[in-house]
Amino acid sequence: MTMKLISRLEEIILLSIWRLQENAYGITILEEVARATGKSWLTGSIYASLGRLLKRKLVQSYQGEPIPERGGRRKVFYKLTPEGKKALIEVRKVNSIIWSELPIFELKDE
Amino acid sequence: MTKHTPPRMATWLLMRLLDPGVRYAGLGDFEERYHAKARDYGLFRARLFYWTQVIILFPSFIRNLCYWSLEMIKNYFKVGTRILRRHKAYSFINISGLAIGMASCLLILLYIQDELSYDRYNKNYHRIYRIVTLAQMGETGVNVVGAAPPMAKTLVEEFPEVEDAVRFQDSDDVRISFGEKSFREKRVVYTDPSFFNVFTVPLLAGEAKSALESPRTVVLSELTAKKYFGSTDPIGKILLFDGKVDYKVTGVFKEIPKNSHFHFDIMASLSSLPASQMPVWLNFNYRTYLLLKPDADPRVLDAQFPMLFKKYAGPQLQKAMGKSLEELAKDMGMKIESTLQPLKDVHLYSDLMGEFEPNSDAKYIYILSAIALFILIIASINFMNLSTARSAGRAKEVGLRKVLGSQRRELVKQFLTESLILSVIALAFAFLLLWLGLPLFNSLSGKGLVLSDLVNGFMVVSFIGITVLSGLLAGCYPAFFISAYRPVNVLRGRLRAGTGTISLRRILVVFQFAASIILIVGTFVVYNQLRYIQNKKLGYNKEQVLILDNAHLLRRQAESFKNEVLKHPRIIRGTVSSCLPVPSGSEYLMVTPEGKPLSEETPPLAVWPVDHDYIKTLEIKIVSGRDFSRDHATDKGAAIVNQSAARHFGWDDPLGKRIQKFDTVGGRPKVYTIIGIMEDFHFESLRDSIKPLVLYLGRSTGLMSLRIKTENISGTVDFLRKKWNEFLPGEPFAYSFLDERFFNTYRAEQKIGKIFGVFSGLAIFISCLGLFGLAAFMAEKRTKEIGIRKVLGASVPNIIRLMIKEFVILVGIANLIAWPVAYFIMLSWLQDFAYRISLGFHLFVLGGLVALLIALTTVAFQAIKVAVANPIHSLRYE
Repeated sequence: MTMKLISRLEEIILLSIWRLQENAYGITILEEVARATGKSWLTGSIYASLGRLLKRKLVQSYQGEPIPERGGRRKVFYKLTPEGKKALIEVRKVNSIIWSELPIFELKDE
Repeated sequence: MTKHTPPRMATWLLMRLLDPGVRYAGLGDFEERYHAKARDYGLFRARLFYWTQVIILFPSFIRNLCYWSLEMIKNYFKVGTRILRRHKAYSFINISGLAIGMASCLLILLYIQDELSYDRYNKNYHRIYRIVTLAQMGETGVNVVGAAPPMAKTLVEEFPEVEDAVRFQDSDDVRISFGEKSFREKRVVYTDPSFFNVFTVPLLAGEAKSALESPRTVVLSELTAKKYFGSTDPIGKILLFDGKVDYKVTGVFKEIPKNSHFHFDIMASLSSLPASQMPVWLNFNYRTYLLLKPDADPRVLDAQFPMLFKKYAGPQLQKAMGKSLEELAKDMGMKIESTLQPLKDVHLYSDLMGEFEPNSDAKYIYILSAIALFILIIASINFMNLSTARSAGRAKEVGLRKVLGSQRRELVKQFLTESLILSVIALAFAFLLLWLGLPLFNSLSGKGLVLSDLVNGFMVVSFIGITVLSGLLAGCYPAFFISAYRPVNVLRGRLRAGTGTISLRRILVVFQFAASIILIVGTFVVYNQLRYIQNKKLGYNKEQVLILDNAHLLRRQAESFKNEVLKHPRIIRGTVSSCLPVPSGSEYLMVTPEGKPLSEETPPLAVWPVDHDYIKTLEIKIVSGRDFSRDHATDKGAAIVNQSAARHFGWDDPLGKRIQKFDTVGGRPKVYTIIGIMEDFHFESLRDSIKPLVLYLGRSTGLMSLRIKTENISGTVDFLRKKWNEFLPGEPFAYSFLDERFFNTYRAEQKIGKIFGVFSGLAIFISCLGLFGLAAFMAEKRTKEIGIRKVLGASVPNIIRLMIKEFVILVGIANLIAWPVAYFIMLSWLQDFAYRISLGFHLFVLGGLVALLIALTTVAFQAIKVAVANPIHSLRYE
């Protein structure tokens, strides 16, 4: 099976969407990403990645109710597709393999 | 709930920046955050936040965009170069045509740039003006570059608008010696010390303020200083002028740039000439240049001149002629008016009496610009023609690309990239051609253009402009036409070779040839006019007349020198006079029939002092009366006039009539009896009609003219040199020929004739390149048809006729368009000449025939190749 290697930001976004479940839309995802990485992100910074994930069918979007704060637009929610989940599992597998087969290594901040 | 919306501009930007897939979601999220900020921190912070968030998106967006469009451009480039390489002949024709066109264009641009740069080296050129004085008596008047000697000083003193003023006074050729070294200097002028303040000619040594202050001081150009003093310091050295007067060198100035309307090697202080200090207001011999204050209006000064004349010239006129300015104006129509002419107009728009050097003419700039544009268009048309002709070949490619998802916009870009690649390559070759052709052009036009002149803002912009323009011009038609093909039709083979493009191609070929024919006819007319001038019956014999240039040095010995050289068997006759029927000395004086006072109708006439042998030497025909003769002692008071003068005085039989000549305004006239009438001869340029001329016996020793025999001219010159050195040891011997001087008068026309010839040759060549490509393409397309025709029995001439017919018709139509256009253009050019050829029909037919012949030769080459080919090869090619 071919591995769907994804970028670090994409991985974090996918995980955020999973974590947020029903409430995963632009701003909540952004906040999740900011919380995880510990720094503030630009509003526009996730759209390029989200667009790519959409194109590769790792996530899919669906629309909520129109909201006045959004200038009457609907919220666009995201959820993982089976491929998206598979990709995350893939990443995790790769991670655990490469982390586990290390020589003696002190995990310490230096 | 707040009603406000985020900044509209920023939202609009955001729309462009976000990927279409996430645009909707992104816009909503941005706005939601905006409202959250507005709620927590206020509207201003919210707006600021929104804007920064949008603007920070910019860099990554642009990086993305560039990356992808660069990939596309790389691809366009790759495809473009592949196609150029695959069709080598076609690319060669296109590139060489465009390169020649661009090189011509650049060359002409260089020329025009040089013409426009005249006198701009002066830092204050826009503030420098010179005084032009109109002196008029009755109907006739002359515009002279000059003013009265005290004018400069008066203007500076009385008008705050005038910052400074400088005067010039001509000098004859001077023999200048320093010790052993002695040279004849031609470019000598007398000027004021303010010269260095008005004009930007830097002094390399000496004090600009005081260099020309005191009498008998002189400043030299760098090269001249080197000539006399080598590497020693010239300051304080003494130069001997004409073996009589000492001048002290007080400065060395940097060579005056080539693009100046005057050039001097030596400038002497004007205070050396006592006349320059006289308060005389009745002559206008001093060329006066003014430096105005930055915000001064020259028109204000123009309006002051009448007042100045009244104040200063008025009393002097009263004294000299016994009449006031107003009375003279009323009685005789005398008018003296001065105006200021801007320095920047001198080179291109001024042709007055008393110019330092002959100026150029703005007309030639227009002509050359038109030619440059013509040539560029012709070269671009080649490209358009060939590309559209080949469009059928590209049609399948376009169809396939479209099927695979190419957008039309991308195809347009693809084609434009191809033509731009071509034009950039052509530009590189154009530079090469320019580098090779520049020396030739310089010798043709008498300019000193160099390639490095191309490196400046204006030129860089213009040749980038030329490249892009010709690339787009040439590429736009194929780009928009071919890219519009419908893939279904193309791939089903519905589209036949070049259908629908034929008529446009025809129009382009017609246009191309029309432009070429106009240039050919123009060249013919210019050449014919020049030949006409050179061979016109002038009324005197310009052949075999040798002119000794420095005859005035002989002074009283002139006559004995003449008699001495006349003993030589190959020297037939000789005459001493400064006035010759080519540009040389000439005097204009008031002449009236005896007893008739000066009046409104009195124009100044050409009055030439000559000696007894003048008419015989120049072989001027006497129609009635007799020539001057030594046998008649009374000939001292005799005059010979031309037929035009006789008509001017209104006499049917002027013999024995008496005329009076006014040497000075208000002075006593001298009276002359007319003893002979000459046939009208062209004593001035053929651009003008023949005016009245009066000859009388007088001393005027500037030039000696000798009629010599044809054989062994160099021997004759050697003999003259030997005699000259006997009479004037150490004085430079200089000579010229009358016909040579005559031709020099028309050098501007000759130059333009040659330039015309060269560029029309180039235009024809480029047109033919295109025609050649087109013919080759047509022949290729019709290979099969011709094969079949041959199999069915068509003869070689039949097929050649078939191939050629279309082009002949096209060139024929081009002729019909070109003739009237060429006719009107050339008619207006000929207006400048008083004596001109009539625009005969044969010139146009000849021009058309030349174009036709060249076109036929080009096409015939292809036609014959196809016609004699073995049909087996052409029919087996599938």
